[in-house]
Amino acid sequence: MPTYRVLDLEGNVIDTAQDPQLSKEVCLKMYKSMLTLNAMDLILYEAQRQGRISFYMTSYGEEATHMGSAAALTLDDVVYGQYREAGVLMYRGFTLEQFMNQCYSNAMDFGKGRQMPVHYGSRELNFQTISSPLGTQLPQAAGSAYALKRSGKDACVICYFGEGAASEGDFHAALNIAATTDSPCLFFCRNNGYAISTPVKDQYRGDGIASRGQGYGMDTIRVDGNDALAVYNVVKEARTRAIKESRPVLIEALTYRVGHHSTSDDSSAYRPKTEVSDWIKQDSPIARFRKYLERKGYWTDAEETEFKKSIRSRILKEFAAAEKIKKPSLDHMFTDVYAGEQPWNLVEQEAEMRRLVKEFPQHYDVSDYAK
Amino acid sequence: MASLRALRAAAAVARPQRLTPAAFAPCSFRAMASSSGNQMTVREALNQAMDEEMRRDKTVFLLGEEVAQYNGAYKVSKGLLDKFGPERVIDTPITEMGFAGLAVGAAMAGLKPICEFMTFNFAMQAIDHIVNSAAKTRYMSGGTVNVPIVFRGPNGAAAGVAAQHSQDYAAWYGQIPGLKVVSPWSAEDCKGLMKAAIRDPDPVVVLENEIMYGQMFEVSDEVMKDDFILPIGKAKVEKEGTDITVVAHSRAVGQALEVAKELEKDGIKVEVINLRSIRPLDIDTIIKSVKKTNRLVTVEGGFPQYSVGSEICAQIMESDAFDHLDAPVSRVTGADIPTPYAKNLEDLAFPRLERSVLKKKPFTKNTAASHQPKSRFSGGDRKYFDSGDYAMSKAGKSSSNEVGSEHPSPERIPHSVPSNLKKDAGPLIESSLIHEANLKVDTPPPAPAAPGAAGPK
Repeated sequence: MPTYRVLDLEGNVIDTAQDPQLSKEVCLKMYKSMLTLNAMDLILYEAQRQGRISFYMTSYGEEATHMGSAAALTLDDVVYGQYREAGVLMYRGFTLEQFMNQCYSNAMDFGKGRQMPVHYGSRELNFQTISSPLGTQLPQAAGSAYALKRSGKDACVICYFGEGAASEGDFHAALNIAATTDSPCLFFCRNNGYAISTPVKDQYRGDGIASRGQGYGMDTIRVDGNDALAVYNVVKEARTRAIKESRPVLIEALTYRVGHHSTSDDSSAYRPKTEVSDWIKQDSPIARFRKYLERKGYWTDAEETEFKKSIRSRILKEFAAAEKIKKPSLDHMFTDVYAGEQPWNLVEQEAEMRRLVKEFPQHYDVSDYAK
Repeated sequence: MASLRALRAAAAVARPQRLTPAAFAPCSFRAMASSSGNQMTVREALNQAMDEEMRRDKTVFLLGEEVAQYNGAYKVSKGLLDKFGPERVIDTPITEMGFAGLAVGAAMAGLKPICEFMTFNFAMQAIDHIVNSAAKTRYMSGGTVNVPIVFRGPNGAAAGVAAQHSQDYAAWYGQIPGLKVVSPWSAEDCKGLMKAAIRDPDPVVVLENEIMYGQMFEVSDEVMKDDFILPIGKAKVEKEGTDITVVAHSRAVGQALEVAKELEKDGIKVEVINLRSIRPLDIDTIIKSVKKTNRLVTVEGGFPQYSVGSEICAQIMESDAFDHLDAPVSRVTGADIPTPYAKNLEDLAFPRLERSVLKKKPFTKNTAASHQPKSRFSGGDRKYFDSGDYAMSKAGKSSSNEVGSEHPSPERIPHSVPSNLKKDAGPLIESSLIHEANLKVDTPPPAPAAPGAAGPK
């Protein structure tokens, strides 16, 4: 299956009819978000290495899939991420402060300190909380799309996943059930070459992930995932079809995971360092989009230098602030298990916990906890 | 302390007993306080509960394998497709993780799905969605996303369906924070608890029992009303007694009541508690009863280790009822083996609450099965895995002509023809998005199977 592309590696538009002609404002929002995501990744990755947070995942090399798709969606659209979609959330308006609070699991975290770092979620931004088990988001996205269809809203669901997750049974179940229920769901595969250490040559035998769409009777397209404008065009068109014709669409974005899978692995153990450096040199999604912007007259070297400097200091500021915020309050440890009144057994357990904490202050130092 | 307890147990064994062979005839259970003359099967109760709640709340919808056109593998959803249409009664592909996942996502987005599993044994394929997503999302999202959903279907042993269709999952789901779990026995339980489950803002697992579907119960006028609802987390004392407390759930409640009736002839007054809810567990009702009777037996169809009975034992140990026990608590459970198929072995693998068992039970070791010759549920006929029709026949109802008498035919199912076949386009993708891929194929779609031509399922 061929790959749809708008920009060549030098940032030239191949066919001018395919240029979405996005406004300067939108273009710069996409580009600045890419740089911000990059800078945030750098700092939080280092923070994990210094033992200040327990876990992190970077998005290096996949910035165009995030911003290209996010720009083509509305805030009414519902996002089901896998875990490497921080850029989508950022584009939708999640602030640096909110990212930091989640990763630090402090008292200001929306999730009340209950989830691992990078398992973001935001009701306000229609971004479903990240689920750790691989692939569970896929059939759930189909269900949310079914609910949207029934509500008649002008909105769809976008569900991100990797090519590795596409080997899970959930993937096949999800595509089939989205197709049979005619649900407006965009299945967006970030095919970045690796599932942790497993390269695509060990992941499947067919023509990538896109070839499977036909089998489920779905409109399908493969797109150059390092080309922000191509990703934008594809998601825009897929969104229109999904909502207007009430049907799912499969998108396979070909990209490359420049960073390690997470802070739990060192990718040099399973791929040569030169492979990574070659990719960075040959095809960086950020550099490609920047060339396009420069040609349009939207961006200059001076602006680049200035923005990178200012964003770094802003992130460091937020980072330091989040680190100072107190740990989550004990008040929330036993809440939200069920709606409404606390069940008696949880009331008893909470009372027992509070008794122990109070009785043995030498073992339970709560001075750093929020009240 | 130990010797004192042993003494008490010994004293209890010495209780005068008169053994006569127990011969239980199949019977209908009567709701204790009813004389209204209303009768309802468990199947009808479940159907009525869903019907009323779907009428009441438009966001409620039912999905599962064969729930629509075929009226459900056990006919529990009979007539609902006609009443509510294919948008709210959905036949899904055969993919538990697919439709359970879809249901969870739909619940996250504001609908109230009732997700039917043909049996809870098959929900193993979907347990990740139940346990990791439905149960935990409210907590993990900081209380911002709730998952109001009902997972329902037959649970526990049927008859003649062996290890992979006979498991009781009460203890499995009962262990998970964030889930509520009910295990109804009677028509009253089924109607009241199913309605409560549908209205609940949290995920509820409703463990039905296949053998009970056709069981007829007398119910009060109140149960017949469309606002009848039972609280989740409350047990019911089905029969009051003073000599021994028997706690059971699901089908075992009926078995306990039968034995209680027999023992009454010997002057032994059994208090039978129908647990109704597995989680939350109504331990207060059990404690109160134990303080009165000083003896406790738990009965269930699940495996012994980490069973519902084990949890009750532990909670009684931790409560002040412990000091009221005259004998150790005894668990009557299924045998600790994958359920065998051969009838003689299967019969021995599940609780057989004949009177002699109950009399001996509290005072001997807690092995599972007794060696009684006959169970009222294991007559000469074997049930093979054609579920619904068998259950109907056991309920004394032959399959009516319009239901399940022939294989569903695509032409008669308005929503069964894939939409891409309805359009002029071919069966494969014709997308300008992928026009370069040259995917267009001229082969016509395969002809739908002729009505009735397909073989048995």
